[in-house]
Amino acid sequence: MSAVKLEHLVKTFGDLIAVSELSLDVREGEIYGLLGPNGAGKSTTIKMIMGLLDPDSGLATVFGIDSTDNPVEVKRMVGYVPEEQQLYDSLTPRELFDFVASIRQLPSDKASKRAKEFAKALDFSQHYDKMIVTLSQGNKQKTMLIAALLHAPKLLILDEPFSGLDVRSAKIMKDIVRIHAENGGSVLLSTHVMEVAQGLCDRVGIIDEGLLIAEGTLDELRSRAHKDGATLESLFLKLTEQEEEVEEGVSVIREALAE
Amino acid sequence: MKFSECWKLAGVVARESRFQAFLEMNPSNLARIKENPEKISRSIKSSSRISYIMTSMILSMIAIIALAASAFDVSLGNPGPRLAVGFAVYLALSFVVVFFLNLTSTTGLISSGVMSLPATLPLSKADLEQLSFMTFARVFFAPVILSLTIFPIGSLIIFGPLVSLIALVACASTVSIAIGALIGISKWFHKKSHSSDESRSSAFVRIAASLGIVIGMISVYGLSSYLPGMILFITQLSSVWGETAFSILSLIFPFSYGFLAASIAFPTSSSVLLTSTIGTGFYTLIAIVAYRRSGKSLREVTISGVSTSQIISEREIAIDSTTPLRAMIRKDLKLATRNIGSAFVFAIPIFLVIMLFPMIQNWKDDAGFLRSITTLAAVEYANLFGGISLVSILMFDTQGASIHEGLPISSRLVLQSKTSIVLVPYVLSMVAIDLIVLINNPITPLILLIPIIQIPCGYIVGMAVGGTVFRMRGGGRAVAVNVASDQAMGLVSAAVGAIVGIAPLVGYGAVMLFTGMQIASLLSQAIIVAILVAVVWKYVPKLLKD
Ligand SMILES: Nc1ncnc2c1ncn2[C@@H]1O[C@H](COP(=O)(O)OP(=O)(O)O)[C@@H](O)[C@H]1O
Ligand SMILES: [Mg+2]
Repeated sequence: MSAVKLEHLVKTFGDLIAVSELSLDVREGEIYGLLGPNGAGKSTTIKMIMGLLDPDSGLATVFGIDSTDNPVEVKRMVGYVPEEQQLYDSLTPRELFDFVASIRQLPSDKASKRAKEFAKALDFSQHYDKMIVTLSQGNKQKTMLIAALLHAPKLLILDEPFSGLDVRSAKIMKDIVRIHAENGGSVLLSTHVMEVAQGLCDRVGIIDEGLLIAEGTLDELRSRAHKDGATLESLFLKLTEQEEEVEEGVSVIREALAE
Repeated sequence: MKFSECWKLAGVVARESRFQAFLEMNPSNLARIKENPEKISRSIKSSSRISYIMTSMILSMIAIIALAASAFDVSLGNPGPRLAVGFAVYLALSFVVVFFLNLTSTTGLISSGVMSLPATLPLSKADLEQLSFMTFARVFFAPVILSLTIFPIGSLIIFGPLVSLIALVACASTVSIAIGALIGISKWFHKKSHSSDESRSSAFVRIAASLGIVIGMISVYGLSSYLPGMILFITQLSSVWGETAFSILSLIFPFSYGFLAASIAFPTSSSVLLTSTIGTGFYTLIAIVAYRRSGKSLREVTISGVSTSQIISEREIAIDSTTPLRAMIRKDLKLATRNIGSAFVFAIPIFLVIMLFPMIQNWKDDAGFLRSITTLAAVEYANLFGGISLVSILMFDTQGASIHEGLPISSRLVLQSKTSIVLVPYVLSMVAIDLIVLINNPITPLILLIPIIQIPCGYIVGMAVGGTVFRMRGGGRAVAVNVASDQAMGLVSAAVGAIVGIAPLVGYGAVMLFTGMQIASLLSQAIIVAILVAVVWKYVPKLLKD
């Protein structure tokens, strides 16, 4: 069974088609990268998978469970770190994790053990009793990550997971993703930073303006673009037909800065 | 920077701060809310308009009552002291109004970080201070301007230009001192509520502070009707002590201004003139200093935030898990005690008592007995307040969207937890009603059973109101509602609470009319409560969707 299966998913906001006829599979045990420029429709897609937005048409399932019909069941299985961080500012991570563990009905001893391990790995112990509002962006992200991992989910869904992290934490985040997959878990992550996908994702899907324009392993994509040895970045720009736009933009900026 | 330029810039920053405050209040279901940005800006406009109108009405009322009492109510003693005391009472109340009505927006301004953008622009320190202060002033423009105009204009008409000038100085000083105090307290509260050593004492400080603020606001609403009584009390007090009382009083804020005005309008002793002049000079000086200092300290807090120092004793990392329902309730109560606005919910029984007490006293029959109809009416008010409490509790969910989005929380669980919380003020209200009834000579002690039998109705009101709100605002999904910006939901909730809660009372009333028997009436009330509980338990969850 696929961890995530999307079939002809469509979502519009007024006139804007944010996601258009999107179909893809995230297999069990793989790390799947959803790539695309800002505004491509990555977050919208993920929100539909989580049952937070209703698709106009099409189907999203997680381990065979329909996200629209049964979002609570989907959330039970998934560990989700959204792009925007709206935590409870006036709680501490301790209070927050207590809350999360209780909602997920995890036994105290098991959850404590996991929290301890993650806090150690992410160098988070000294923030455990500070109010969340006082934490830095990166530490808020770590809080979210630990909260999402507490129940040892089979599927991790991470929306732009590396944006606020320093080098050390980004490395640990990548390792967590890798280890999670090695242990048989699946990961769906979105990013607009190509380097992130390179070397981490087993397969990537590139979307632009809501359309899936390419999918496969990195090698497959390279050969499809007839550009041997190309970096993912140049490939990405070519696929999304942004190469010329970027060059144009660069020359305009060059002029502007020269003044 | 030129004044006009700064004023315009401050308008932009103030708008942003209002927007931030709104987002902070309404971020839940962010995914969905963003689909309709026009609605957000509309509700921001309407909510700030409403708070302007509220503040303006309260201030005008106080000004009119104070002026009328001091100018025309001869039953209150000599014209001199009357003017002095009326003046002082107005100043004191306008201080309280400016202070309390703006406390939440000030705390918002401090925590939102809206000044961080202007701080990156090439503005001098003095400019930034001016900008902070003006933003602050613009956020509650209406009360400041009103307070600076209404009373001086009224004084001009009644007492002439000199008194009016003193009134202007007095009002300006009061506003300035109120703003200074406001900033100080906001800083303090921000610090207190954001330092989280988990000791019981800090929770106590937080609860006390929030309740103190709520009670302060309630007394503002109540005070205006007791104002003539207060004037009478103070004039009488001083007639016992004579001239010295006035001299001493005139050294105290805000009486100094009042006595100075009175000394000019009416012939008074030179000692009072002297002391009140000294007092006025002194407090005006303080006001000027407060104005200067406010700019500086505002700049500090709006740009770099309040340093929330806290002692962190590293405790063991562990997780203490409980049932989902208890976890939801525990979380809501924690959030409530750390937020000024949320504490309102728990003050609802107090509101109810303040409202009902005079009413119940006036409703006794000719023989001086309190009859069942009075109790029924009081309970019905509590139903209405119960509806309002539930929708206010939904405000707690305006935080933590990211957490909620990823957790398996069913709408049913949300509704259950909110209903459990609403039971607390509901039960307290019933107890309060019983106490009031008890001390007002009930015709039979059986009347006391009406509120007791009604207690399970808290569950009915909570579930019905919550189900309706979720149905109307979320299509059946649990949503956060901010009553301050969504007054329609406030009205709907009050109506639903009143309608479902009245059924058992009507049952009681009908049986009473036909049989005249207390026991039968109470029995019919109880049966209807039981039926409603079953109906709500079975059908309300069907309205919900995940
Ligand atoms: N709630 C919304 N209402 C209107 N438009 C939206 C909403 N959410 C996203 N969009 C639009 O849909 C497009 C895709 O957004 P998103 O999925 O957030 O992109 P990405 O995550 O790939 O950067 C964008 O053009 C965005 O402006
Ligand atoms: Mg996104």
